[in-house]
Amino acid sequence: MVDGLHAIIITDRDGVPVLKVADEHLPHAAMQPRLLATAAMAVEQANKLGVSNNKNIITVYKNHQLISINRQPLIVNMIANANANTGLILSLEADMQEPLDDICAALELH
Amino acid sequence: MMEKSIEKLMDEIMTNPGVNGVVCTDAQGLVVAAQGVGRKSTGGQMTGVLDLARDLHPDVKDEPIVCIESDAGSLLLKSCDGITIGIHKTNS
Amino acid sequence: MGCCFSNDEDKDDDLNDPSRPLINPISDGPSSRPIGSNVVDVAALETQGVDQTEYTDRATQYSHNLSSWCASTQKVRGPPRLPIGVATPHVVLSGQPISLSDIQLITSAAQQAARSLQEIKVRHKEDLVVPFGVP
Repeated sequence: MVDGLHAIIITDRDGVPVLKVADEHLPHAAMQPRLLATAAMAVEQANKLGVSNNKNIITVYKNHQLISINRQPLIVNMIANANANTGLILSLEADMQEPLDDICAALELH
Repeated sequence: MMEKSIEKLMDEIMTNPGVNGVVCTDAQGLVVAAQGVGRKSTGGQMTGVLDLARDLHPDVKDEPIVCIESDAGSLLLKSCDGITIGIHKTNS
Repeated sequence: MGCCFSNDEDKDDDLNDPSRPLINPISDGPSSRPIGSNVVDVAALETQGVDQTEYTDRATQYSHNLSSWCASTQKVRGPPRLPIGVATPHVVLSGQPISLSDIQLITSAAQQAARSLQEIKVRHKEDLVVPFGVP
């Protein structure tokens, strides 16, 4: 559990949601397909910058931060308050490995 | 190089008796510098523990010091002006 | 600089890197992805993406697959296992609290770290965006 973390949205590499959980503090815009598609696109483009594959992208706005973790073929998006503990949110990835493998298996994504 | 002074400070801390690792993070729990034992991915946990410790005594202005003891050694934690430092020590 | 096409300058460094992204699209194995998939083309990004129908179809398909997988699985996820920490807690609990020298060590370390990090500033050295072929 991380203070100020409002949502975890797992999408495919095009930003189509696979699984999402959110609390009531989540800004409306955050669930819009556009944001998720853009986040997925950013991950894909960042893979091409010539510095090996992108691991995660942290985008900080005035009030919120979006953390996109590249976990091919899935992307894990986490939306939190701007002042939330980014390091702690990033470390959640380690706890997610097994569930993410299960999701991949369930969706037969490769 | 601008980060020399923090690296130098880490070197100095490492020379203290029993110290076998030091990690320094910013207010967001992102690691700024690290040396010795202790995984670099634990920066968030360190800041998180101190945030909780601060919540226990909201009226106290002083920054809390947290010491986590285990069979593997102890970990000292403290924040100052948004910077958190963690020092790993061996059991003496 | 890590700009979009700056790879040609530092070729020798990452030729051996297996994850080198700007691979020759012709020899790109059985993949049928277009050549554009290896180029950062900001202008083309607007037109990419999934259309509304496919988006809904895929989302429905995913949620259907997930729920049927959940219904069929035997897996039960228990609470996380906590580390053992100390084998003999009573020894630690009855021992001396944190020593004064440790308090001094961590306090001065925190103060000095805060001070030295305040000195870190961004120094402008060169333009981050370089125009290509603009007269």
